[in-house]
Amino acid sequence: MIGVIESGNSGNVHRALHSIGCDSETWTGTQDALVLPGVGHYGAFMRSIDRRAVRAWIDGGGKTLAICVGMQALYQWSEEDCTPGLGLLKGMCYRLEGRVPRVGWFPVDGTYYYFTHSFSAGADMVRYKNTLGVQFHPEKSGRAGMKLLAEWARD
Amino acid sequence: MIRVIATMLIDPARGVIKGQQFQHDRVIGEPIQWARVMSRIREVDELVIFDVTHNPPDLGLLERIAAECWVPVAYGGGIHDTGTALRILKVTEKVVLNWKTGPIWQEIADSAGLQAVVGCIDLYPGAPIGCPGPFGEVLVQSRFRDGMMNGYDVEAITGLRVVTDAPIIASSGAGSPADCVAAVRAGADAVACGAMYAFSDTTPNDVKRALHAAGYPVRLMEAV
Repeated sequence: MIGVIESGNSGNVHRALHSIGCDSETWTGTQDALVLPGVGHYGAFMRSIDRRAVRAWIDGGGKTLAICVGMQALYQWSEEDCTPGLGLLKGMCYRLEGRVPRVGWFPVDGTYYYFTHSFSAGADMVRYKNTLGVQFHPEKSGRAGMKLLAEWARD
Repeated sequence: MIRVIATMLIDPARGVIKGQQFQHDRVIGEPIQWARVMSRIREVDELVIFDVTHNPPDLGLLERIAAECWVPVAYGGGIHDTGTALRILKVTEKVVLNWKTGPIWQEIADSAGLQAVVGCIDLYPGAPIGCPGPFGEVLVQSRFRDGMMNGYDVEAITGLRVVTDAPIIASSGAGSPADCVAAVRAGADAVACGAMYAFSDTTPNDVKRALHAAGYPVRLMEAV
């Protein structure tokens, strides 16, 4: 069973997980894995989660997928808001240069995924202990995104 | 990357509709199934949904379609106020508005970001052509080419390219991958097709291959 923290587009995340044969429900801390989705404002997202519990889960090696703002939350801070992040990864999220939000399909290691973001920690994909962080939205990245979700879930 | 988009016309009470010159008489499928096939099997880069009924948007149906769709969704039809648009944007990635629809696009852009607002230009003889915006993207469709499968209005795309920096989505009239290449050559950033995918052997991946062969970057279908 996968636990999903409800925020932003978490409905789409539930449906995507179901479509690849995974069961999911709202995160309570008792599930086998955690999805930290996130669309929207960094500060609002950080204030909406139980940061101590989430930090302990991830730092304790709990299996986690952190999407978009969820991935940014792994870092120490974002220029978007003064609320600190989880601070598991060193570094900060900066406002992207040029036209924001950066929206569209961009390649990561040769595979296109769908992005929509205005801030970035400088990485499109990151690993920390048993956590995979992705700046793009696997649930809206066609078959490539679903493959990534399925591989994460199976791992 | 050049986006290959599938257009889906819907009448929530009836299903997926075949459009021809903006007449909508023929039911050709079921929306959720159509969205599944287009986003999962055909691997389009985006889905554009138009409700052809002029009724208020069917949010419940949109939610079910978007949840089944593995790629971003843009929705147009029956949006006359900011509140409605913002409710739709909780479900879809973008809304499509007629470019003449008052100043509400600005309010929507202020709340949801400019990338979420697609301005739609409807071409017909004597139509006022312009592009106020700024819009996140501009979709150009043509009343007389709609569903006819005899090519996009390439001239209009060429003209529009000069007056806007926003990404242009070519719509109405695609009948072959060559039509799509012609639209991109004229300056389109994305090609939307409806009838061609419904009624011919041409698939979105055929369009991607043709664009790729012409030297344009595309997201080719993942090998399974």
